[in-house]
Amino acid sequence: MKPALKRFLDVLSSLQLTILCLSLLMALIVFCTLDQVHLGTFGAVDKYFRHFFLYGPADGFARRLPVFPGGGMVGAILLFNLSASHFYRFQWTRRKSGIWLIHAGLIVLVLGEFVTGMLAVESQMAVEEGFSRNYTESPRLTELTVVDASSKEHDEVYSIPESILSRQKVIRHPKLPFTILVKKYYENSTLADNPGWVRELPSLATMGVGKKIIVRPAAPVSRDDEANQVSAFVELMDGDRSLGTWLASTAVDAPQGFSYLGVPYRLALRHKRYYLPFTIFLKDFKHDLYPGTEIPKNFSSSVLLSNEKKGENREALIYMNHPLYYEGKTFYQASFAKNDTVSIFQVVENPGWVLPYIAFILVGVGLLTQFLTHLLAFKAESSP
Amino acid sequence: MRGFFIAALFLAPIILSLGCGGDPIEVTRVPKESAPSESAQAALPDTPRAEEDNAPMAAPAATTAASEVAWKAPSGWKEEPASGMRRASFSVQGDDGLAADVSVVNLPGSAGGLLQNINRWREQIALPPLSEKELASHLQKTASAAGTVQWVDFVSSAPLEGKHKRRVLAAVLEQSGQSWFFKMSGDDPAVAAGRPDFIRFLESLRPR
Repeated sequence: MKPALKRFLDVLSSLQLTILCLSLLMALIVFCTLDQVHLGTFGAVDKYFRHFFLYGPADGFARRLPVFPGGGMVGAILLFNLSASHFYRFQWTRRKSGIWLIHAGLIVLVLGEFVTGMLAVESQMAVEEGFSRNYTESPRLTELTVVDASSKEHDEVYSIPESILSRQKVIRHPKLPFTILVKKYYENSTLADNPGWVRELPSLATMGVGKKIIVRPAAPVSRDDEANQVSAFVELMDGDRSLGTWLASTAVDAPQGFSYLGVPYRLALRHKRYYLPFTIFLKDFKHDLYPGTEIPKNFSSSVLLSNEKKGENREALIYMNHPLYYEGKTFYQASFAKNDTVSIFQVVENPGWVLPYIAFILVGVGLLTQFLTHLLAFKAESSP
Repeated sequence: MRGFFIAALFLAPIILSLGCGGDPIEVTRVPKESAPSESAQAALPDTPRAEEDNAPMAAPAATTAASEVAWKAPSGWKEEPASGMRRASFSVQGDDGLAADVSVVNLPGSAGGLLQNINRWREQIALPPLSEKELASHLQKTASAAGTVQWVDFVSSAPLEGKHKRRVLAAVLEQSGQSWFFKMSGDDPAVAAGRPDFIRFLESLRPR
């Protein structure tokens, strides 16, 4: 092996690097915990652990500078460090098999966190009794949607994630006949009726419900039980010609319709939807109380699951500690609304759910092996 | 074998970084949506659901429709068509041709918070914003079947338009994760005359 590569692998597999990574992770945990006051749990975990860098404050320049390695970076280095020492440094001998297994378990554990962080999706589904639903919604992420409703059978939904809406001034899609100009974007906002005589802050909207609404920026919420009211003024342009400016906001319930070149469209800013290849029909939601009290005894939803493609049609009962597992998604009974006529499910999809279990089994077996190996060796040495 | 692992170590960052790109614009073909399904989904609460299995469930929340809170409008109020964000709209005729406007608006969550909303109303009649401490001395409370309604009564310090000062009577009712705003605004004499009716209106609020 070349000396440079050997030196690199020596550093990558060193114990010092492990300790550095663990120290950085501890520092990140402290920063994250302190920042939860400002950002809330989800915001803080996202900022400190779901990115490769922590960025400094915006200073008016185009890009913010990375100031500290984020959890993603430290985790990745730790993963390489563990893997490198595992495969490069360790020799597979019977005596060291316990350590080898413990190490393998730790690698799988860190890898599991990566898979969960990158791929797991948590969303919610609210269904009213007697109705069915074929999508779940993110409680935090939002999207600007343009729906082409020209077909009689289906809708064509163009979803523009908030990450694009907040960053780009001009949004184009080859299949849309117009470009979307983001004139103003509010991460959080309050909306109020303009009584007419308030002269300040004239609405930018020239079409739809936003014409008489005053939008004011608000500080982004940090509590986990609050959601930002995202708003944006968007102008649709065909070349140099403006089709009008609309106010899109999560505070506006219904999508706003318009038609262009004979095609009916609907525009809305809503919570991000994840469409499912099956539908859930809510037959009945039950909210039982202990007799004579207001104490809940049981919440249950009787649903009908239909998957046309698979020709599946089956009933299921979802209640506390008894979720519905289907197509990699788990539907938990989470809440209810509208006088017990709407049932709300928490829907979790985590392709890496099994990895922590494998990790713990590996670490457990490793610890046991290590202990027994030493015990037997000790016994062999101490016996006359 | 060792060569394989070394290669894997170098490839892993590339593979991992693939997962970090921004989300693209997605195009999805979905079955036609019907109107009622929109209303059910709007019932998603902004409050969190029970985190633990044994915890009591989050309070029911619903956002849509004026169907959640009902009221009895005083006889002198003329109902106007609701428009924009308004769930209901009334006009109240006072003396000398002066009029007041009553609006009912509901928004999900705390809609920015009580203090912020109250300061917004103050700003509309050119009054300086209040601090959290000062707010308490201005808040008045009225009980209704839908819950306690908190309200404020502000008059501008000088006429803003025309010869009269402007006055805002505004109330907030928080119910099932929703904020309901009831506001009477207009020229001071008209709003002052309409004040008893407005309070009776607040007392008449009830869950539907």
